[in-house]
Amino acid sequence: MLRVTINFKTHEFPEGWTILEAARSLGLDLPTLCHDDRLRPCGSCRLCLVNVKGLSHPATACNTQLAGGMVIETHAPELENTRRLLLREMIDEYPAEPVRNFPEKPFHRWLIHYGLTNECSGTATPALADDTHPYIHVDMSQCITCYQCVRVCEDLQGQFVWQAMFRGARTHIFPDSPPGARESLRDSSCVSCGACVDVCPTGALEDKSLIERGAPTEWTRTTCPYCGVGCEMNVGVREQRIVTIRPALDAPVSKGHLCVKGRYAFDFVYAADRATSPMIRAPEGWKSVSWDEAIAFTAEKLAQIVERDGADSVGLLGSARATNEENYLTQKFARVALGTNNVDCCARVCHAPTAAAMKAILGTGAATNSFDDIEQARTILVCGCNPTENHPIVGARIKQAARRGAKLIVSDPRRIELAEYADLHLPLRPGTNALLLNALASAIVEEGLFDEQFVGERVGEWEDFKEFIRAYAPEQIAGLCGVEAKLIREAARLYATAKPALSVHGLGMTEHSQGTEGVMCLVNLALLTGNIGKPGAGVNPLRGQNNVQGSAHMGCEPGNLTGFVSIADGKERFESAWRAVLPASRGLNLMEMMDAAEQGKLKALWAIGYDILLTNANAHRTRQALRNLELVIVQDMFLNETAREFGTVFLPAASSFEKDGTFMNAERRVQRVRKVIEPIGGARADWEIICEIARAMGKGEHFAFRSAEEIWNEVRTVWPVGRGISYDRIENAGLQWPCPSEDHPGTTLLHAREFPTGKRAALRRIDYSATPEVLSNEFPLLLITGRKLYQFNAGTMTMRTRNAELYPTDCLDISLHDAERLGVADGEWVRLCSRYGEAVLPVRITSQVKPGELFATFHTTEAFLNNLTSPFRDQYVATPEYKVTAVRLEKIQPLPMSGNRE
Amino acid sequence: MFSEANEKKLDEIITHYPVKRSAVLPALYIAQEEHGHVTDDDVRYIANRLDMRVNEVEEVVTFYTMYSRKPVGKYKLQVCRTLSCWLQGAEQIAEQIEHKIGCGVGETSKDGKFTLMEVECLGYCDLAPCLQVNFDYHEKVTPESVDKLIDGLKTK
Repeated sequence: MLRVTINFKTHEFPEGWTILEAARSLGLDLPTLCHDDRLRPCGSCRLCLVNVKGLSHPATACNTQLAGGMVIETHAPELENTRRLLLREMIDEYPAEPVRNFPEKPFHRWLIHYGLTNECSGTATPALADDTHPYIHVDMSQCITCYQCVRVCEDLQGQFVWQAMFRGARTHIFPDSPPGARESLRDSSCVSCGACVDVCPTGALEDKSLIERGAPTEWTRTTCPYCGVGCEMNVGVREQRIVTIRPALDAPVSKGHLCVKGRYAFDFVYAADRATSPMIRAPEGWKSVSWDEAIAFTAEKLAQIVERDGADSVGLLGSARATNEENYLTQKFARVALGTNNVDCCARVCHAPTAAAMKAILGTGAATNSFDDIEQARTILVCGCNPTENHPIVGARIKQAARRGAKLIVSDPRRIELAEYADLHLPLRPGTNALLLNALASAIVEEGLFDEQFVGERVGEWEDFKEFIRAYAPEQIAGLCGVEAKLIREAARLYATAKPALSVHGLGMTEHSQGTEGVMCLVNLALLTGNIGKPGAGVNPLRGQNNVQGSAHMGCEPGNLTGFVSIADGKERFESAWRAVLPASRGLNLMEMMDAAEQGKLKALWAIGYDILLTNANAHRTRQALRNLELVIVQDMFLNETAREFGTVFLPAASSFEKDGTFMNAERRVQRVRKVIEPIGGARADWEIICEIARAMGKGEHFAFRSAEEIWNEVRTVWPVGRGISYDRIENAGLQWPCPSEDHPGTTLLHAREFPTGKRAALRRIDYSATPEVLSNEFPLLLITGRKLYQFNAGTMTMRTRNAELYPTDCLDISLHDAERLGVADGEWVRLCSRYGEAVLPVRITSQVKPGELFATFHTTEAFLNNLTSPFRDQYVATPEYKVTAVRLEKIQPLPMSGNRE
Repeated sequence: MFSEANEKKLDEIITHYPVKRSAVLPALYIAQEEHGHVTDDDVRYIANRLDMRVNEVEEVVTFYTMYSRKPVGKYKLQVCRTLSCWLQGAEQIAEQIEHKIGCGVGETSKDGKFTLMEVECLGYCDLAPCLQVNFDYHEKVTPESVDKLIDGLKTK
C-alpha cells in the first residue's frame, strides 16, 4: 500500500493505481473527457490536471501513477480556472440545444458545472451529419475530438472504423469509406457494436432509440439473450419500454463491451406480430383462447395420449433460449409428470458432439477454461468457428490478443475475418476435421514435440496411439484434406511449442457425420501437448446460444439427468429427491423423436422456444414427421414455422427481458437474468406455463414453485456440483461450476491436477471416415451453412429488429472463379438444388470461399435453407451434418422478385 | 501503380525502415510526383503495398498540408498565416496573389498553373512573411516581390 496525501488528508492506496483512481475512490469528481476504464489512459483532454507537490507543472491524474508520499491537490482555484478555460475552448462552435436536452452527458454535465452553458451558441454546419445507420445517429457538430470513439474502435472492438482527418483545430472524425466516396457509417466497415456511442461524452454519436424514446428512467442489469458468451448488460427503460441497452462495465466476460445483437437487437419484444394470446387450432384456423382454456386443453390432450399410447409417445424439447430453471422444469415435467425420458434440446443440433467427446475423454462435457484465458494464451487455435461474427465479444478479444502478439492458427474452409489476423490459416476441405487434426497429432508425435512429462503422468493409451497415428503423416493426408503438408507441420510446431495453447471450436467441428470423433481428435492434441489443466491452454467450445450449455446440463437430455449424470448413475438419487418413480430406459433424442413420429410411434411433441421445422436439417423429413403428430404444442414468442404449419396449441411465452432466472454460459458460468419489463400482453414465463400444466394434470405437488429462485434452490439440491451457486452469491457476478459449497469460489480451470475420471485421460484412436454426402456430376458444389453477424439462428428475434436492414436476406457466398464459370453476377438470385430439396437466394461474390465451395446462411423462412440439408447424422449423438451438402447452382429466369436488382 | 522507375524507388525506400508502413510519407511523395496529386487509387495502392488500412493512409494525407488529394496547379503557393507572418502582412500577400492569379485561397487558377493555399507556421518567423512555392521558400516577401515571382513562374 502507498501512503498518499490528497487534498490535505492522507490515505492508503494499492500500488499501481493512478491518481484518478485514487481520487475517484475518495468520491472526488475529477472531470475527464478522454478517459474510459476500457481504454489505455492517454491524458489528452487535460481536464484531470492536478497539482503534485514537487512537480513544476500540474500532472494529468488519469495517466500518472501514485507514488508513496505524494502530496496531491485536485481542486485548487488555478486548476479549476484551467478547466474552465479548456472547456471554453471546446465550445467555440458547440450547439446549445443538446446541452439542454441531454444534461446527463459527461461533457454537458461539466459545462453546467463550470457555468458555461450560456456560451454555447454554435450553429456551424457539422463536418458530418449522418443518419444512414439504423441504430446510430451521427452529428459531428457535437464532436469535441476527444478521440475516444477512434480508440475504442481500435482497442476494444478492433475494427478501425473511425479515423481522424486533417489536423489541429480543423481535425474531423469520419467513419472509414472507400477513397473518394462520401462518408457514411452505414457503408463503412462498422460492425455496429455501439462501443463508440457508449464512450462518446457529448452525444455526437448516440443511439437513435434513445433520442426517439427519451432518456431511460431506470436501469436493470441482465444477461444477453443471444449467444453463449454470456455478456452482461444494463437495460435502460422508460415507461415500461426498453430505450437503450449498454454494456455492464464490470461484467466478467464482456468487460464493458457488447455486439450489435446484445446492444441493439431488442425491439423484437415489441414486434407487431408478437403472439400474446394462447391459441388453439380450430378447423378454420387459429382461435384465441383464455389461458385457463389453453392449459386445460393441453393437459387433457397430453393425459389422453399418455393414457392411450404410453408416456413414451410424447416428446419434450427444452429451449436453449430459456433459463436454467425452466429447462430444469421441462425435463422434470417429462420425467415426473409424464414418465418419459423423451426430452432433448437444441444442443442436439450443435454441441452435443462436444459434450459427448469431452465427457468421454476428460470426464466433463464443458469448456476446460474461461474466456479470461484468451489473454493468457501464447497460441490460439480457432477450429471450425467464426467468432468475430458469431461470438463477437470473444472474437474481439481474440483479435486484440493477436494484435498484441499471440500466435493465431485458424482451421476453417473459409477465409474468415480472423484468418486475416492469423499466423497460419489451414483452409481444409469441409468434413475432414478428423484427418487434419490427426495429421497435426502425427507431426507432433513424429517430430517429438509432445509433452513427455504430461503424457507420462496424465495420458493413457500412449503406446497404442503412437503406433496408430503414424499412418496420418501430413504428407499422406495433405491431398485428402486440402491443406499442404508444410502448413500442417508448421501449425503442429506452433501449437505444440508456443505454449500455453488454447483452442476454441464451434459447429464447424461438430455438425458433421464424424462430429463427435472430430472433437475427440482435438482433445487428443491438447493431451499430447500438455495443453490442458493450465491457464491459457485447454479445449473450449464456443456455445451457440445463451443457455444451450444450461439446457442440456439441467437435464434436457434423453440419457442424462440434471448435472449431466447418466440415468443409470442418478436414477435412485433423483427418485428420492423428486419423490417419484422415474423411467429407467434412455429416451429419444430430437432426431429419434422425428424418426419415431415419422413411423407413427410418437404422437405428441411440446417444443419450447425452438422452431424445429425451420432449423432441423432436411426439412422435408421434419415436415413428414410433424405431419404425423396428433398434438404439437408450441411455446414461443412468435407463431414460428413449426406452429404455423403444424401447431395444435400455441402458448405465448415471455422474453428473457420479462422474467427472472439464470443462464449458463460457455465457460460454465451461471449468471442472473432479471425481469426488466412486464410480459407483453398475455405472455407468461415458460416456467409458469409448465407449472400450470403440471397442476392441471394433477402433478402440482412436484411443481409448487412461486419464483425462479425457488426452482433454482431445488436445482441446487439435486446438482451437487452447483450447490454453492445461490442467487445471493451471483447478484453481482456469476459463478463457474464446479462450485460445490457456499464458500467455494467457483472453478475457472478444469482438470488442473486430475480428471473427474482419474489421474489419466486416454487418447482416442480415431480413424477418418468420409461423409456419405458426396459430390457428383449432378451435384458438383459443396455447400457449408452458417450464420452472419447481424442475424441469429432462425432469425425469430433478429429479423424482427432493424438488424434486418443490415442483413436483409440470406445470401450465398461464392468465389469469383465459380461465379464467372457459372455466369452469375453479384446480387443475382439463383436456385440451389441438393438431393433433398431447393432454395432460392441471392449470391455474394467473395474471396472468403474457395472455388468449388459455397457458404449460405440459414436465417430466413424465405430461403428455408434446411430444405437442402442432408439426412446424415453423427453416429454417436445424431447431430445432423449441416456443414456438408452437395448442391448444384442454377440460374433463374426471370428473377423471382422485381425491382432494381441487376 | 507507379512507373517502373518509381516502383523501384519505393522498393528501395521500404528497405530503409524496420516496418513497411514507415515508408508511407515517401510513398505519398512518389504518388504526388507521378500523378500531380494523391489520387483515390494511390491511397488504395499505397495501403496495399505497405500493409496499412486505407483510412490510415487517408489520415496521413489529410494531416500534412504538402499532400493534395485534389488536382492542383503546377505551382503550389503556400502563404504562412501564423502569428509572425500575419503581423508582417501575410494577409496582403495572400490578397496580392489572389489578385494576380485570379482565384481565391484553396483554388486553382484557370490556366492550371497556380494553386493558392494558406498554411500554418513554416518555421521562418525571423524572415516573415514567408511564402513556400512547391518545395522552395521565399522569405520577407512583399506584394511587389510576389508579383515579380509569379510573372517569372508564368513564363516558365
